[in-house]
Amino acid sequence: MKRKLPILLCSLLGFCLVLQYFVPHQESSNFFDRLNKWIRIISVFAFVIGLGSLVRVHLRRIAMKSEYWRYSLVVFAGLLLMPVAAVIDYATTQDPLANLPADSNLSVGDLSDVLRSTLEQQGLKLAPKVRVKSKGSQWRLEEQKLRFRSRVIEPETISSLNNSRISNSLRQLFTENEHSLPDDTKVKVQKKGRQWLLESGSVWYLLKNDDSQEVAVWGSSNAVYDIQKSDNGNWVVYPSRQFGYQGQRVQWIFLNVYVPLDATMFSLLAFFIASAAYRSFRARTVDATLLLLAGIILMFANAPLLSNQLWQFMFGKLTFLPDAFPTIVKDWVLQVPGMAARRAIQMGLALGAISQSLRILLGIDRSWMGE
Amino acid sequence: MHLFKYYSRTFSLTCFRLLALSLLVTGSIYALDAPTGVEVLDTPDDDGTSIQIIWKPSVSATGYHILRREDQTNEEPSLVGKVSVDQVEVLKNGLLRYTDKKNIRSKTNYRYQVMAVKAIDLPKPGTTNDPSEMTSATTELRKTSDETPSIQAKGNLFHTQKNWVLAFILLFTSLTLVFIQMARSGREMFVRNISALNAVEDSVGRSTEMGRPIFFVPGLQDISNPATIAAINIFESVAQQSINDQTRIVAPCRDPIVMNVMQNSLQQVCAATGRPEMYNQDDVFFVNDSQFAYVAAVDGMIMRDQPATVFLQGYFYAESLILAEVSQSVGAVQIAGTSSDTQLPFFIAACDYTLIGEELFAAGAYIKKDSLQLGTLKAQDLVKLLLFGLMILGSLLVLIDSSWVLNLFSTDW
Repeated sequence: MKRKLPILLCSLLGFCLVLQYFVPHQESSNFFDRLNKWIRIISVFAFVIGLGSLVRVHLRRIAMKSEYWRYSLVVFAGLLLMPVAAVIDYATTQDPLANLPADSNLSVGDLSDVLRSTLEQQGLKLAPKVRVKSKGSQWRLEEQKLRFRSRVIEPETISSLNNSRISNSLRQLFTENEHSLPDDTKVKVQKKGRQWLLESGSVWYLLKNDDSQEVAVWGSSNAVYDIQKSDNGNWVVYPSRQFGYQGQRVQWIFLNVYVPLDATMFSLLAFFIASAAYRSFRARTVDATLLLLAGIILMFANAPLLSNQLWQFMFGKLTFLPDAFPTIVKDWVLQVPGMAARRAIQMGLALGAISQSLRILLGIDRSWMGE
Repeated sequence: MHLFKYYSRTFSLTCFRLLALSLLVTGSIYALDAPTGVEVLDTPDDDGTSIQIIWKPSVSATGYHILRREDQTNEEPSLVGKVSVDQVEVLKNGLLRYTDKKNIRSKTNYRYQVMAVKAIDLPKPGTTNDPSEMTSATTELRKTSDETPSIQAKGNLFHTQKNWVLAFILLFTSLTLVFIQMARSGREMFVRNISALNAVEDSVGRSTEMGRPIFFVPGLQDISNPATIAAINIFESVAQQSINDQTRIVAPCRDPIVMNVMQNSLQQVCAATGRPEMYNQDDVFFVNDSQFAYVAAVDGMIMRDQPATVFLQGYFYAESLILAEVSQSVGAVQIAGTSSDTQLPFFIAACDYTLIGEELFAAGAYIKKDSLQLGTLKAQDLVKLLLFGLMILGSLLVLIDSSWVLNLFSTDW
């Protein structure tokens, strides 16, 4: 029973999920969503098991003073650093951000214009939509996530965005969708491919101009503020104490330690590509020679200096060759033999995955149980 | 007299021109028909949250407004959608379609009207005669269709566009069951040689001779990924050989559930090979769930422990080459396999042996020589053959201008 029940459950749920794929009914989607939530909950518990394993392995190394045991101390330092920083952030007395008069009439729902202007006069930048919530004897201000899709006014409206000018037509677009761009003139604009990021204080908007000629706007301002009554009867606004969320120390460690380390590891890839290419491109066999040739063609076409100046210098007199010949050859290599090989591999992978899934559903493959 | 005739003719001409102009203006600018032939239907193959409205296009409309009201209420129809003539979906028969998804409730009857809209620019009387300085005001002409019969959105129990997928799955499952039955009846199942898997035994032996551990990296995905399960299958076989040879196998994991499953596998393998004392829970351990932190930790371990063999099996992302190159730098034999087609070239370039495509999923059956699992591989091969046949047939049919097979594969599922 101990072995049969998990297999039975796995097969039953597996076949239900296969069936769910063919049933578009709302109940079918609800079932799928519920299962996804279960998976997320189980993952959280599994993480505790993982953490237990990590602590046990490294504690044992330290206790036994095994080789390189000092590295385990670094692991514990890293493991404790973030929670400690979050606790300090949480416990530190936070500076008040703004004050409201004692007779302020706070009510659950959207923030009234009077209170908004009072807070903004005291330097608290607020997102266009702020919701007020009652929290016992205190109040909470939650900035709302903003998102809408709208037909683009003119493509140039988005593509000509720059730091010095946010056009009136863009402001109009926001207004039509019941939002307003911050009046602050210092809206920082960053272009990221076909996306533009507008930042103003704690509020940012991501504008995406996609192929459907629509502009999609995502705004984020997750700032949360707590309003408490002070001794003199006034309402005081503090940044909310959400554990490990808005703390300065946690943010600092994340941005100055974790992010650079992560980027460093990723950057190593450039050097490893060079060393792997050197080894595999040595033309010792027919296969390696073909690989070398394909690599040379791709590099030649992708490097502007090679594909333009050097090509013109070497073969410019061969007028019967079409313009951008290296690019044409590169595209052919990628789209014909390259794509054919890739699709064959993808088909094999898909069939293999289906076959593997069937083995699990039919109870033939039980490796997922550790058997 | 001449002067009278001249003025009379000029007056007549002016009247005629004005009449012609007014007819032209009335006929072209101000003409707008109400949409006709408005039909509503429950969207097929959906979850019951949308209704489709179909109508004949109105001459000279620049856009359409969709109005809706709940049946059996006296409320005025409300606007649920606006669509311009550039955006509206045009069907093959020339009709227009709009899909209403705005807060459609189940068990509620709705009635629809389509309003044709035409925006026109009316010139405003200016103070100047310069046409470039003339101003205009935009206004809209509107004509509304009759109300449609009431309709209710219902969720469907089967997605009819997925017929072919169902047929394919049923075929695959039936073939698998047939081959499993054949395997059960003792029929020999031939599987071609896979050099990467043949090298497993040698590489484990190499580790034993060198007295160095074996590293097994099960990819970065969780247990729900088929590649991870395939990797665990390979892990079992490798672990069996390494335990037999009394060689340590180390498996750093990124996912705690994968770690748990692999610990169970190792424990069972140790028990099954009669060496339960070889099981060390800490040989299969959780490292980190952050991609590059995990890679940094595993690379560090490889550099320090100098394994003789490194298995990189499962699903990998950008870290594949970093792991492979670091393994190569310590002189380890690398046997890789992934279902990520973007990472396969890196493994092929950097590793000694690579499982390509479906070889990864066949590895467990191949190493264990389990006849039932080998049966499923035969079914897989047969389906692949069938697909190749369809591809060739499709190519031939395209040459005679028939895209039947092509459409079969390009159906929007």
